[in-house]
Amino acid sequence: MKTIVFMLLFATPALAQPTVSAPAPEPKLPLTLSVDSHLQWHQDRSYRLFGTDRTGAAGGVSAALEVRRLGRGILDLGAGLHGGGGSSRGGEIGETDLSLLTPSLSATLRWPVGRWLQPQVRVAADLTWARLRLTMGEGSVLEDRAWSPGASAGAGLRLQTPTMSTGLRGGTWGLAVALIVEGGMHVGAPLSFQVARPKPADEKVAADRIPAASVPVGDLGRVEPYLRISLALAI
Amino acid sequence: MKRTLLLLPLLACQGWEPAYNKAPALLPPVGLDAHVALVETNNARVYLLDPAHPEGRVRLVPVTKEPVVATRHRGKDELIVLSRGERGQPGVAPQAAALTIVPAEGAAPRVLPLGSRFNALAQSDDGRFLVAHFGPGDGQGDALFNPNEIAIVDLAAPTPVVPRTIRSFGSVPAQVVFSPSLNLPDGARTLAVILSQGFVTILDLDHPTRSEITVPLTLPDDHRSLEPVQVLFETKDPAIYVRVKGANDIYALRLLPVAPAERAPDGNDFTPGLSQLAAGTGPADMALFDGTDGPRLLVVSPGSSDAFVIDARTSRSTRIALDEPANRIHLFEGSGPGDPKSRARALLIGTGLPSRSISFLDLDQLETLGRRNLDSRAMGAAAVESLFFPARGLAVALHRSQPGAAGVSVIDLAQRTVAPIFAEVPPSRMAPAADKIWVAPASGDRLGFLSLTTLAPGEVRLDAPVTEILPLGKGADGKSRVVVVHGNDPAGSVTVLDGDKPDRATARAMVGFLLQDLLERDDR
Repeated sequence: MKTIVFMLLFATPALAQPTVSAPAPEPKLPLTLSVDSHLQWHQDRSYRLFGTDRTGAAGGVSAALEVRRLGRGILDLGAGLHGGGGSSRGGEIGETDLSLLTPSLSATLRWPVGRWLQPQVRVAADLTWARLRLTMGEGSVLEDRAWSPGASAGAGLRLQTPTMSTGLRGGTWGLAVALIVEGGMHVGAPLSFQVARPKPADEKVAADRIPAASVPVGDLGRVEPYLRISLALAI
Repeated sequence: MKRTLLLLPLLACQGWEPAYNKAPALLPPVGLDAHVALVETNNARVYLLDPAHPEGRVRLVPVTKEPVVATRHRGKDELIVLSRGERGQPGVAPQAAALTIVPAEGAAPRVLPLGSRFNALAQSDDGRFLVAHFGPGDGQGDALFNPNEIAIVDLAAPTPVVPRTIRSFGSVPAQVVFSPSLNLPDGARTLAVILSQGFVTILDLDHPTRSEITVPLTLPDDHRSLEPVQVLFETKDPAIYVRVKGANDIYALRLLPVAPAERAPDGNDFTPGLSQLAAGTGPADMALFDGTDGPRLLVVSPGSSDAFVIDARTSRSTRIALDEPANRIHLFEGSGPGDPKSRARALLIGTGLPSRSISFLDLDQLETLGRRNLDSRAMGAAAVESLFFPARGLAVALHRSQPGAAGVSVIDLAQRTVAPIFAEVPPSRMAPAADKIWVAPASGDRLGFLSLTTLAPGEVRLDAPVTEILPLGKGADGKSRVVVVHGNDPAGSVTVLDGDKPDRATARAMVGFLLQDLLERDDR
């Protein structure tokens, strides 16, 4: 919050600039770069494997480019990359680890309703790569990798500072800082895992090993509400 | 409705209850016809492995909580699991103790609730009768329990479970032995003999409500600690022979008829007549065989290094001094050197004794000919265990391996030869199969085998140390397999080998099967 206040103060010199008879056009902010924090509420009890906390956190970066103005609205197309997962130690399995990496494409429609405030709706499609790694107490490891397509839809608010002038593209591009808070629902295909011993790096050792089939350990559901908080830089 | 909607976010924020916090604990694996059953005790689940399809899913069967005994149902391709149930605690509902019978091939399990939380189980040879009881031990984890309570289970009866308490003289049942069908006055029937410190109890399983017969092994003023350990049954003229640790006599209980007029209401149609048969010092094994004029009891007593042939009807016993003490009797029919006729004979061997020789006894006219029927043969080292393959005319002695000494000796029953087989490291596990003996060392990841046809040894290198060997019968595809359990892997690990041509190249592993459906389970 302090950061926002500081940014608002930082933005005030623009207001203090001398008034000219023919005001210069407002600098554009076509590109939004953001650092995102995702919080999901798992609905599937299978996530108990990674601890008693029902929430899962993920972080990442995303970029969105303004592509069109629709009346008062602004349409952004974006892409992001987010990572997350969970892990636990002790118990039946010595150590469990779930790693997630999710590239996504999104479309956001936002419309300024005030100087600071832009409600927005966002839809996204994603593809999650996941790795489940189970390290047993005596050190043996079983793991699997899986892919899951998904989509999400959410709505939120974008709190944005006034645009500051920059020298970019002859002063037509400005700079602003935004805080985006968005809630929504993510729906994805379950992550289905069949674990097996990892293949040894040494080809001779790998070829010598007695073959074993993988073991289905089940699915991790990916239908879950989410809260996304992003700190964005608009230029 | 509004309140519910308001509560939803709060519910969403609640954590999961703790899960997966108990390491898997397995009962000893059980080999069925063509499957292997592993019972995990913390989550009360049976894992049925199909070695013919190591790539397939393992069948998971839930059983009553706290399983304590898992054994094969005799005569059936089924697993029997005895569970103590759940006593109940905050948030956990109590669950009655039960027997669960799990068929190997897909059918639904049969659950028989039991009244008490027993921890030991015995079954008759045909698998029809079971007795659940409390085994000897300090405490059973209950506020109160009656150690002499038992449950008689007749799987052919409409009401299979009959609970009852047996009479006691201060001790608890240690073992239950089932008789074959005995020719009793009211018809052929099966008895259960319950062995307790200082006494034996006889129960009529076909009439489970009839009072039991208790036979003390000592007089009231005799305070010796006598432990009945072995029981044999004579079926034609019904008799029970009991060998007792701590006594030099064999206890013979002849089952005499009781006239209907003399019977108490719901009384037994027989009564035991006790006689004590002298059998040297510290009898260690006994066997029944048919003599020319009736059954005879052969007893070996390592304390006096002799064998006795006892006519139970006359109590006449004949002593045969042995060259070295023996404590194991293997009866067989076969020829001998210079005697091509197949006759009843016995191999006497000392396991866990310093004896370095074995003895063959020709049982024909033994009481007349005595030591002339004895033939002793030297063995390279003392035996720690013996296996008997009468159909193949072989016996195998396992030795405590020492450098330069035999690890295993193969005894040819007809030729009476003792062939040494050397072992690199001391074998710690042996598993006999139809045509092989499988041997695993205490450490190392090699499985040895000895062909009973050619006596040629071999070995297969595996990927992990061996903790159990389970030779299986022929599967539906006609192949026999051996399953090697690697018990050190908490995720579950076995190797399946071709039982006929064991080879690493054709071996298949099943690794991680205890984690099957892990994410879908409600594990604690």
